[in-house]
Order: sequence, then structure tokens, then C-alpha cells
Amino acid sequence: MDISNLIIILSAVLFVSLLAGVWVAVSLFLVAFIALLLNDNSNIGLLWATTTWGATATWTLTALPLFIWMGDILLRTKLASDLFFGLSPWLARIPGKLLHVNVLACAIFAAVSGSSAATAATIGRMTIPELTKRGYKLKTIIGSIAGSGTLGFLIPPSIILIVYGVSAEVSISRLFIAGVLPGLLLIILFMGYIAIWAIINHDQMPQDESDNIKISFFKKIYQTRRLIPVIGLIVFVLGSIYLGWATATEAAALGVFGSLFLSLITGNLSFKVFVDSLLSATKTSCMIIFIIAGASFLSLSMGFTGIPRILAENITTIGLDLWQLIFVLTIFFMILGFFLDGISMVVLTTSVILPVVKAAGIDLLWFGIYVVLVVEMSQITPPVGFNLFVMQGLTKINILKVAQYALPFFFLLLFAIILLSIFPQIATFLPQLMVDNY
Amino acid sequence: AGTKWDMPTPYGDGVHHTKNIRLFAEDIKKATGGELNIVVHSGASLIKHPEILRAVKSSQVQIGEIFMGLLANDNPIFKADNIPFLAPNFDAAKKLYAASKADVEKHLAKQGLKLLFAVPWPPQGFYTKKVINSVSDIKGMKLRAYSPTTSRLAVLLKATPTTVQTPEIPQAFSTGIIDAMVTSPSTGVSSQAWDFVSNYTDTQAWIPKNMIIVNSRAFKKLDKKIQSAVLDAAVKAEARGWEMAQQETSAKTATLKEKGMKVSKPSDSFQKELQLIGKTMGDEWVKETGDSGKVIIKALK
Amino acid sequence: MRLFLDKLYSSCGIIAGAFILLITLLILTQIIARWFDVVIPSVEDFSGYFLAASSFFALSYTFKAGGHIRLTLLINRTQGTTKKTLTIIAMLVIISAVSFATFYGAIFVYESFIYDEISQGYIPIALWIPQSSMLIGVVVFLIALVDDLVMILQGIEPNFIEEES
Ligand code: NA
Ligand code: NA
Repeated sequence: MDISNLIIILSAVLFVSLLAGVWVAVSLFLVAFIALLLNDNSNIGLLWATTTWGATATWTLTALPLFIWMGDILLRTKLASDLFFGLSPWLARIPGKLLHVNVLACAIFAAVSGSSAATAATIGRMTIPELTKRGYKLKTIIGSIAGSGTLGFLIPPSIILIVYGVSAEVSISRLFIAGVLPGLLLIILFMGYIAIWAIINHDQMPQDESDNIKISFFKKIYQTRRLIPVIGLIVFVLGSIYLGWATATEAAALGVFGSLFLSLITGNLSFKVFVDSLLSATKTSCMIIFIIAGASFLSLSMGFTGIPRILAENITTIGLDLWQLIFVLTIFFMILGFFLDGISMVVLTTSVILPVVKAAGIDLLWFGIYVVLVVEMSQITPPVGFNLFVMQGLTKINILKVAQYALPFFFLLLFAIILLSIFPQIATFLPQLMVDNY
Repeated sequence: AGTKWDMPTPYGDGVHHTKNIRLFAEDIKKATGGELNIVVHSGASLIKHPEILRAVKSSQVQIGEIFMGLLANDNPIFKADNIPFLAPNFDAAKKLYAASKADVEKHLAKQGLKLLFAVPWPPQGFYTKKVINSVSDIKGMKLRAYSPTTSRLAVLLKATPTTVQTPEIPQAFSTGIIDAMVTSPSTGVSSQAWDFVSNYTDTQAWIPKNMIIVNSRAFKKLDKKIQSAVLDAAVKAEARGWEMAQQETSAKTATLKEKGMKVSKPSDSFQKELQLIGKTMGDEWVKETGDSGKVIIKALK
Repeated sequence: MRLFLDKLYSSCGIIAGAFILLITLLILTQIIARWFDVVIPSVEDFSGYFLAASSFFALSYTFKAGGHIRLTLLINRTQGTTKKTLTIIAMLVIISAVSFATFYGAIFVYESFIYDEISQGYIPIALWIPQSSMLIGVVVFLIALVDDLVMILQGIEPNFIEEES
């Protein structure tokens, strides 16, 4: 079948199926099934079973339910609200106030978790109820979490950087270091945007004056004591990785242990809290993994039909100069990102794209960070965007609305890509230092 | 129109195995005038490594590449090229392959699979944080173990076997979860080992292989002419692959040196100590395999 | 019957949760064992199997709780018969997909069993054992789906619809 016809048919199937209210995972399954059917595959059933088993029975995903559980435990104890109580005196005078907690908490959590869905799920679970209670508009809360959750991929550790490093043969530790400055850049962009938005839309911020009361510096410090348990937990989990107690995946189990321990000593732990948090985490992680299974079947079918590969080949044969190449690739990844999850995007296209990127004289380390940024964008674009799914799971607000709320963050990511292209040092400076010091 | 075969492979495009497979697919396309088109899906992009065998066996794909040692739990014959110091150079590795091939083919045939060819990795060496000059230097180190064989090796070296997943190796080294691993110069280069470990001791411990397997039914469905084109290309690819592996060994070892790693050959006395451990493991392996193992060991002498 | 089915889904949910607890304990054991230079073999295999088991066992439980997400934006703008028809169509699509999954899941596990498929890690494990969790989970999921479709046909609003809004 002609590839453009195939693309049209498959996109139509996806949109009709999603709009008709078929579950997201099943819609992805349906598209994959039809793609394989049109590709004359004779063994679709076993391909489904093998892929689904391989995608779900895997060590790399085990951190996901554990981090979600950690968030669920913290939510059910007073620790989550302590976080806000401790931070509010410091953020009260800054435009955007406690909304910045979303960005900062996601950034800090991103240093522990390698996945962007886990980051959005864990932090969202804790901050959405608290911020709502304090009168913040749901749409600003959701947008900022869906957006800053994407930091999970850029700030090390990062699953995407590992996958990219393996296929591009670029040092993973260097990629991790290269991600640090762009990560900070994104944090600044996100917080800057929130501050400006809050100044312009002053009427949409909570008008509760209690946050604005001037309190003395010492009182602020005193109130900040409530942050100690949460900071202790973060230091404990981060420390366990950097002290060599645990690998990045294992650290999630320590996170669960730490939050259970904290809730125990603060007298918040009961059997009910334990079971409720566990079952709630089980549901959230099941929802995400159900969609991951559908996405991996779709990714398999894309491997067989060769759509991403052929599109990428077309790009590589046009003969573009450096800037045109970056521009076209960005559009290409953006479109691919509507339909595919980040890992599939990287895996399915690198073997065609990397030789061209190399030939164009682009630093593969820089390109890795660029890829992470486009993957982050794909996390918040419909119809297939895992941060959107996580937010719908947490708030029942549909993914199209969530995507709309997160749209400013999409443009901020795009802006970051432009900055990164003009100033490649943002990515290459730190790794270069590392080489020089060797 | 021609036949299209999908071929999942586990490793990335920079590895000599993948380069060889791409040439293999091209050869067949040329020889058959496009009648058989093998689409190579490298880097586990279609099917992940643990599932490739199953996928070929049950006709989900027609052909694939896997690490032979992956089948060690099914039949100890697949462990032969993972026994330390049993066949520690390419000549011995060739002999080992020739001696074990019939058993390997027999096992695969039972599963409806046909062995097309096998290509080695470069010989395995020790990546360590500290310099090692004797077995006693390894004592007490945390050595990465990823299989019963590597775990046993660690125990015999009086090191502590430690499990770490491949992507987590750099972090594990820099935070002290492990301080030694055994792998090839290829893997050392592709993971840029110089970023987290500084010594490479070229012990030539063992020379593992990847094998290219095809589903027998899919193969039989091809015209006789195409079948022989595939077999011809396989013979050619095998010869080329062994050449490539040797070039890869010197090229990648040179890269390790270039990037500032301390590359050394073990001294004679160290080598002897290691061979002693190899002997123990070889004997244990023969016990496991029975007669077929004895025949192979004899062929190596 | 109603009581039995509801018990079935909630038991599956509890089993699924227990598997996540098991993953936590397993990994914690591995961390502690490492301090004492002890290797816990095949932790990555077992955590993977437990994760799969948890995910599949939780399918029906999560569905009943309205946890699986879909776009309800069009459906929620309709009412009466149109809404009911749309819901039934969506249910039929998911039931077909899960029936497909049940059928081939069964073949997959059966083949693992007759061909003696074993795991490639440290401890050899007959793969049909962990893989059965996939089959069981999918079967119970299918039951839950048919259960809800029957409810809709009888004019009863199933729980997931209530939870969605
Ligand atoms: Na991260
Ligand atoms: Na997307």
C-alpha cells in the first residue's frame, strides 16, 4: 500500500476511535492491528502477545509504580500539605506564588526519577489537591504540572537519554551532565512564564490575603521547619543514588520505604492509609502501563510498516543545510510526537537519522539533548502524550483540555530548542569541562 | 513481487555485528535481484533481545540475530563460548565453534530453527578501577555478574559478584556499586568506559558469539535458487564477520588507549592463575554437558 | 452472582497491589543484601514478572473504578439513546480487542508451556508460570467488560461511567 494512504487511514482510525470514546490503550491497539493487517502480517496475535509481555514484564518500568505509590503515601499524610506550609512564606511575594512549587518539586523529583510520566504522577498527586484547596485555578495547576513534569526526561537520570546513548553510542554519563544546564534553563523559563502570567492575570490568582501578610524573617525560618521531613526524604533518596547504595531504579523502593517511615514517625500511618495508598497507586500504574502496552504494539506495527523510517529517509535525501535540517527535524519529531511515545520515537528513527546528523557536523551529544526536548514536547501533545494521560487520570479532565492548558509549556520547550540551537554551549559546556579535567 | 523478511537484531549500528548483517542483507538482495529483501531492524527497534528467539521460532519474523549465551539455560552447549579461558584466542574460538556447531544446530533444529552463521565478539577483558597484576588484586572487588557463569567466575576470583543492569553500569562504577566488569573492547567503546573506569586488562577471557537464525519453514518456502543465495551469503558473512571481529578488536582496543585508559596485557604468572580458574570452570561445564562437552574439550587440545 | 463478581474484581485488585508491595520488598532486600556482599539472583527478572502480574491483575479492578482513560467529550455531549448507543459501540470495540488478547494470550502461554520456554537470567524459570498472570488478568478483564455491557443493555449505569464524570 502507498505510504501516504496508509498514514491517512491510520490517523483516521486513531481519531475516530478516540473521539468515539474508545479507551486510549484500545485505540492504539486498534491502529496497530489495522497497520499490521494492511502490511499483510500473518501472525498478528502472537506478535501482540510477545510485544505486550516484553513491554510489561520489564525491569526498566519497575520504578514507575513505586514512585507513584510514594506520592500516594505522602498525599495521605500531612507531609504534602507541610510542603506548602513551609514554602508559602518564601513564595508569597513572588508573582505566581505557590504555582512555582509545581516547577520546583518536579525539578527536584526529576533528579530522582528517570521518567516524565512518573514525575507528573507523583508530584501531581501531592500538589493538585493542596493547590486547589488554596484557591488556585485548576487549569493553571494542571498546565504547570503537565509542563514541568517533562523535566523528568531532561534532568538526570533519564530513560530517554539512556535509550539514545545506547543507540547513538554516546556516553550516558556525559549525556546526563549535558542535560543539567538545559534543565536549569527550562526551570527558569517555566518559572518566568508563571510569574509573568500571574502578573497579567492577577484576577485569576487566589485572593487569599493570609499568604501576603508580612512575617518576620525568623518566623519564616520557623515555619520552614515543616519542610524538614520532605527535604529529608528527598536527600535520602538522592543520597542513596550518589552514595552508591542503590541504582536509580532501586532508589524508588527506598522512596517508598522513606515515605512509609516518615508517615509512621509523624503518626500518620495506619493500615487504612497503607492499603488505600497501595491500591490507588496500583490503579494509576495499571492505567499507565495499559497505555504503554498499547503504545508498544503501535510502535511494533510502525517498525513493520516502516512509516517513521521512510519519512526519516525522505528527510535525509532532500539535501538540507544545517539550519534547514534542524528545522525540518523539529517539525518531523513534533508530528511523530503526536502519535508515538518518546522511546519509540527515538528507537524507530535514530538508525536513519543519526548518520545524516553526523554528516552534517552536528555534535551527537548536543543532538541527544535536542532529542530529549522534542520528546518532552511530545509528552504534552495530543492524542498520544503520556503527561496528558497522567493528568486525566488524576483529575478526570480530558486530555484535549489538559493539552490546551499545557500549550504555553509546549511553546516554552520550542523556545528552549531555539535557544539550544543558537547557543549549543548550553548542552556542550559542562561535558566539555569534564573532558578538560580528565 | 519479491519476498520481504523482517530481521530484528539486538545491537546498535556502530557494532561490527550490525554492519556485517547489513552487508549480508545487501548481498542477498543483489544475488536474488531483489527477490528476497531482508529489512534489518537494528538496536532492538522491532523486537527486544529476550524475545527475538521466540519471535523467529513462532514465525513472527523470519530471521533474527541473538547472543548465543542467551540460550545457556536451555542447553549448556550454548555456554561453551562463555567459559573463561577455555578458548582464549580467535584460532581456538574457531575450533570451539567447529566442535560445537553440530550440537548447536541439532538443538536449534528441534525448535524449527536453522543456524545460518555465527560471528564472534572481541575477546573479553577486565575493566577495573585499580590496576590488576594478579588474581589476588581482584580479591574483594565487586565484579559485575550478569549470568551464572560470570557469577561463578567472580566467586573463583574471590571477588563479590554484583548484579547491575547494563544501562546502570556508568552510575554503578562512579558510585562504587561495582569496581570491576568483564566485557569486550567493543562494549567498552560503545559505552565510553573511559568516563567511569581507568584500567583495561586484555585477558582474552572468552570469545562469545552472536548467531543468525532463520525459521526453517520460512526458509523452505523460498525457491531453491534463493535458498542457495542465502546460504552463499551466509558463508560469506561468516568469513567476513570473523575478519571484522579481529579488526574490531585491535581498533577498539586502540580507541580505549587513545581515550586515556591504561591498557595492559596480563603477565605470564597472572595468565597462568587465570587459566587455572578456567580449568576448574571447564571441568564443571563438562560435568554439566556430559559427552558432548568432553568431545569439545578434546577437540580444543 | 453480583456479589461473586464484585469480589472477583476486588480480589484481583488486592493481588495486584500485593505484587507492587512484593517488588518493593524484593528491591529493598537486594539493596540490603548488597551491603553484606550477598547476591539476590534474578531480581530484575522477578520484579519484571511481578510488575506484569500487577498490571494485568489490576485491569478489571481499574476499569471498574473508571481508572482507564478515554475521551468522553463527545459522549458527554449526547444524551439518552445516542449516548447509550455510543457507549455500547465503545464497549463492543474494547470487548473485541480483549477477546483477541485472551485468545492469543492463551496460545502464547500454551506455547511457552509445550515448548518448555525458560527464562534467560540467573535462575531458569518456566516462562508459562509468570506469563499465566497475563492470561488470568485478561480473562477477568473480559468478564468485567461483558458484565458492564450486560448492565448497560439492561439500562443500569455501570460504575465506571459514574466515576468518569
Ligand atoms: Na530525571
Ligand atoms: Na504527543
